[in-house]
Amino acid sequence: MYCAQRLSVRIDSKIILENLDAEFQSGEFCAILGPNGAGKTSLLRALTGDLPLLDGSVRFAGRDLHEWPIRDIARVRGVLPQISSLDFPFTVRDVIEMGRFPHRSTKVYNRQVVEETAEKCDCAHLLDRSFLHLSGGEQQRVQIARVLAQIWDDDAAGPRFLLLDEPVSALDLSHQYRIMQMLYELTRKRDIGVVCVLHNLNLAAQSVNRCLILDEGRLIADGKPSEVFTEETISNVFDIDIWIRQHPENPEIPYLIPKLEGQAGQKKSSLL
Amino acid sequence: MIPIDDVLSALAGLTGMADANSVDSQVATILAKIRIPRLVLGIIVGAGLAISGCVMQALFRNPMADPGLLGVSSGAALGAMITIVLGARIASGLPAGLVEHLIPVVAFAGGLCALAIIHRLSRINFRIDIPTMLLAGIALNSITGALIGLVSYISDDGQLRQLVFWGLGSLEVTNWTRIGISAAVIVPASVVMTCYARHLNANLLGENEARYLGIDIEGMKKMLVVLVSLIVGACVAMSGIIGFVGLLVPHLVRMATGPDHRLLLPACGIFGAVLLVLADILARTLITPAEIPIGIITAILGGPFFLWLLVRHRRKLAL
Repeated sequence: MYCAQRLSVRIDSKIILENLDAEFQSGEFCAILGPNGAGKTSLLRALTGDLPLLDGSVRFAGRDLHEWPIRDIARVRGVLPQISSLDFPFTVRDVIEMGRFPHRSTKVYNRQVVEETAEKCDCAHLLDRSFLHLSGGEQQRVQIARVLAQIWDDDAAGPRFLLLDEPVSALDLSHQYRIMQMLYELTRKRDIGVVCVLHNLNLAAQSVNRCLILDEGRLIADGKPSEVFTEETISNVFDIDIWIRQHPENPEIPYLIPKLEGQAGQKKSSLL
Repeated sequence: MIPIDDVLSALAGLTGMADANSVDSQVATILAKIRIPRLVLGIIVGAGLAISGCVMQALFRNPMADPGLLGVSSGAALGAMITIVLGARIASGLPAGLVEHLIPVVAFAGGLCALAIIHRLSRINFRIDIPTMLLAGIALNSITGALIGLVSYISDDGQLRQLVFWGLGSLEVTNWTRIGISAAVIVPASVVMTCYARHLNANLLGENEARYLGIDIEGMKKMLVVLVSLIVGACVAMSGIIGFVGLLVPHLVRMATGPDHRLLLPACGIFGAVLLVLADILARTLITPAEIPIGIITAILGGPFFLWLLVRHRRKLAL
């Protein structure tokens, strides 16, 4: 559906992505993981078509990205960059409604979509407030609601995708899990594909059904969290020793604990 | 002052609602040749400048942007001033019809030259880079400022007085042809810009975000920059540089309507027209029979008012 082949990207003579193949399906919730500078955001931006490719191609629903009319692709694909700033005092309702830009739907319908997506992102109570007066986390939830509103129509002409760059970075613990849970349900119930860059590996392990692990522009691992989260892979890629344990209630879900020297609460070595 | 009764009866005469012979012909002439053209010009220029300012603020995603930022208005003023000072030498070889309108024509051309330079400088990889455009505009403004200084330095006393009116603006006009031509530029360009209201809303989220929403962002930037330049070039060609309208009006209106350009752009047009007409009344009447350049009125009233807004409503101004 969303298919990147032999992707190579270079920025100022530095190789950012190298010969990378990846295919994403609708109905799949996929996390892109890796250390800082691994090429996660570059992969996402290559998928959006923003980044000039040195080699390779990106195809969406059978067509090369550049063959897509910009308005048509906006009806089925929403993108949320890492940093989105807005310095004008729109209401939350106005901001979410901007997601309806590519559609020719009626005002009444748009209003309904705004209310449904706001509800999904727990910002229904914020609808009439000024976007500028919200906290960083609330603003992030509103932005997620905006891209949801963009691809909300179930009668869309093709497969629908969301590309999200660190969508929960500013959210508190409960909202992180709730938003990820909501996205997972979207992929299941509405056959939307979600690809998101994440930093919290445990959050990824509990929420997504596929993980790509990148390091230095190369694909290191690709599979279910339980398959790719091995002590060896994670230790090598993130350069930190870890334990991997099982979720107390679901053996399919791994969780990671970093091994830190002199960690608070840890007993000192018996040699001392 | 003309009494209101005379104005009404003269108007009735002009529009054919009353017998023309019963009307004071002197009053009718003043209205038809001086006052009404001036009113119409004030409406067109005020609306054009205010809408352009609003579009510039949205395009630059910066509430401090102003139509003068592109260097188009100072480029146009420079064109006008060069023509005033050196016009006699240029004009000798030109057809008479052109010579009559030489100042506004060269002013408009000067504005378009500034646009071409700015556009060329701020293009990186076939995209218009907005921060570069801002810096290039500032640099171009200071270069034209220096050249304007040079032109005023070599001018004689009579020319200098004319230059002052170009630099500070005046709605003085007695020529319906010129108003017609500038209206033919400013009115359609303003109407087209109001059609970009939702695009501009989305652009406030960021250029990438707007593109992800399905907007041809490069096409939009090119179109709007050209339209703003056409309007500003035509405004300066008709009435010199009138500052502060493009900056102040969008802020004032935004406080009442909110930032949604679907409402904001038309409201800016109406309010800009009203404001400039009122400013012109002050410019004409404060020290009658002499006239104060209207740019002085807009700046002297607008500046302190803007500062008051800044201090009082910092949050609402979105700074």
